[in-house]
Amino acid sequence: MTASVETLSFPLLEVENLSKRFGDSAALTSISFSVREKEIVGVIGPNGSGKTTLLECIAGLLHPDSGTIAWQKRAVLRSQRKKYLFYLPDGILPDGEQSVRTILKFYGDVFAVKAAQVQEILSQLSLEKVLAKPAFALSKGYRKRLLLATALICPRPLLIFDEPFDGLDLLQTLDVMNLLRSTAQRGRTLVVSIHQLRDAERFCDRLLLLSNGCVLGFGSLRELREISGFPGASLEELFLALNSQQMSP
Amino acid sequence: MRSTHSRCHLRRGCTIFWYEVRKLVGNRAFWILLLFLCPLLGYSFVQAIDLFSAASHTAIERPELASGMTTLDGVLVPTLGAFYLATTLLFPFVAIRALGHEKQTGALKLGVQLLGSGFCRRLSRRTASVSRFTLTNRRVT
Repeated sequence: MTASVETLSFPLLEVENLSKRFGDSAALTSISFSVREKEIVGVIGPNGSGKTTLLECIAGLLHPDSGTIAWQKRAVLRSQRKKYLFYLPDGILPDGEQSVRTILKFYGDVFAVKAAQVQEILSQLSLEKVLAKPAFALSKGYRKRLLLATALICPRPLLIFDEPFDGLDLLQTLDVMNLLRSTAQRGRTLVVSIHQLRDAERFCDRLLLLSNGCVLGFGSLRELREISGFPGASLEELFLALNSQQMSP
Repeated sequence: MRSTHSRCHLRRGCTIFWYEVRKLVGNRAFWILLLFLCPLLGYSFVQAIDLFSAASHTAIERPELASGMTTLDGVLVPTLGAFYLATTLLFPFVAIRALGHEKQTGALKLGVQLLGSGFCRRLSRRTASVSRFTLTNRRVT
């Protein structure tokens, strides 16, 4: 299922030595990686490994203590990042008292997206049944799909998703994976944080493995297998092996 | 090229402005504010009429006093004065609650990404709040 990313070598986003501390605890320590055009990069790690902090630093919602973020080889200021990327946080509820139709129309109008395109996105996410409902009355799965729709309406080249499959059942997860995959094939680039390793393995082109705010490894599954010296290992086995290598003195 | 860009920003700003107004009107705290204001306004009106009629009795005996009495100053100003004072003190809480709710639900994280400039977003939001406040006050005046 993973696309061949070797041919897509153009670095769109580059993160260099990004560090962030909250008081005494280090949330991120010298994180470096790059994202190529049209690829799907997965940020993988257990709870508390710094995935959301990393994504919020990239999106400009948090100010990192050090490090640079470059777009097509040029460093971009926090205020400028909104031109290039859109970040969808996890577990939020946009404008709960408004109906789904109103919210989607608003996002379509703000991003100057044609009504037909908005309609296509909402039908791909099966949101037609709940258009008249207020957002707060939606189930967890519909709420997640509404959020995904707002991100997909946004025409910016890089989309960052925090746990896009959280709250979705197996079939919905597969549908959303296919939709995001086709979005990437049509020219968008995706950075996705996932804590389900099986989902990450089948969905992402390259993987950034995080643990305690540090990078355990970065690359495609094949590259990670080579780094760890475990040919044929699953992502779960690789993660555990790399994590124990880092822990050992 | 530049004017097209500005027009695009202006259109986005207008869309956000009307959406913010819609959200404020749909805010429960705003309707609670109005519910609170209605009896206050009614009570102020009754009190103003009572006071004005009591003053009118005195004015019957002294015509020079009657020449200085107008219904605008005697009834409308005290009635709307109470209304104005109440909205001035309470409306900021409606706006604070709306913003606090957005921060709590995380919607603010999406909101700050809508426009290229955070300044435009803040400006739209504040303009919406001020317009709502002005409309509330002008509705009766």
